[in-house]
Amino acid sequence: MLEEKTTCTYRIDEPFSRALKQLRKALAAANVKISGEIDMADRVRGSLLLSVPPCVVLLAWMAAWPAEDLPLDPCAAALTPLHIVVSARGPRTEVHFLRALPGSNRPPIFPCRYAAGRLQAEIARVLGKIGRRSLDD
Amino acid sequence: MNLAAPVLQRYVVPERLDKALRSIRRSLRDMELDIIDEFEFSGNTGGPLAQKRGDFRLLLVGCTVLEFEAVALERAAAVFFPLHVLVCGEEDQTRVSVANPAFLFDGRLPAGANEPIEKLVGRVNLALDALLQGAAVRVN
Repeated sequence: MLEEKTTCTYRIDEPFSRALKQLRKALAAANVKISGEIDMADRVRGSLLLSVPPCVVLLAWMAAWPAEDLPLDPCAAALTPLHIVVSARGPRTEVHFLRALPGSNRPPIFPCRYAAGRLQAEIARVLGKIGRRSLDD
Repeated sequence: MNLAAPVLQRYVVPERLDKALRSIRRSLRDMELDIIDEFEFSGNTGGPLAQKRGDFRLLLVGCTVLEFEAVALERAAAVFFPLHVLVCGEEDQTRVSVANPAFLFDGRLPAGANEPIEKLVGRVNLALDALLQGAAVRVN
């Protein structure tokens, strides 16, 4: 059986800049806080002098995320804030984020998995309104 | 995926948070890694447990060559970049934790993502190991 992907992809039928603006607004309305943005394409262009299509990573937290508890669960720090990748694909835009899957032989990360799961569900709900799930997943 | 590699690597730096952070930043820079973003948390803002724990930082560490390598085949790989490094102050010492995000989930990684993630985690651990020679103590 083919393993399930660790990431989830949605497509928005809008050009990159418009889709990014739309996504930011929809996430804010859903209480998903964007605490930072990393312009991956700009980093690659600036450092390697290579031109790549627009690609931005949004750093997302739930508004009520208990961030002060992160030291109790260091694995949570690997997932917090959750990265939402917004990337141009021709005239459309793709959005990728991590999908929580049950892990075997992994250290317990239940508190973070619960919180990350809630955040992922909220992001999926928002993306379901402004885009559609990729059938490649 | 190399299942023999640890999911979580922990270090103890026998220095207070501010001093340890300076050493960690220098060590990461020496390994040609960037701290792209940084989140600062105060133990005073949390509940009683947080107050006991003290202040901590979350460093978002990246490397453009590895980021480019990761997204070359599939943009979805960018969900694993930058890497998060947790730095927690505990009175006279500082705990540093580095978890490999790819190992926290079962499932298929985006094409071409595995090697750059491994390399980034490896370079961060090398940077912290370099500190170990001076002051830090690797816990596992």
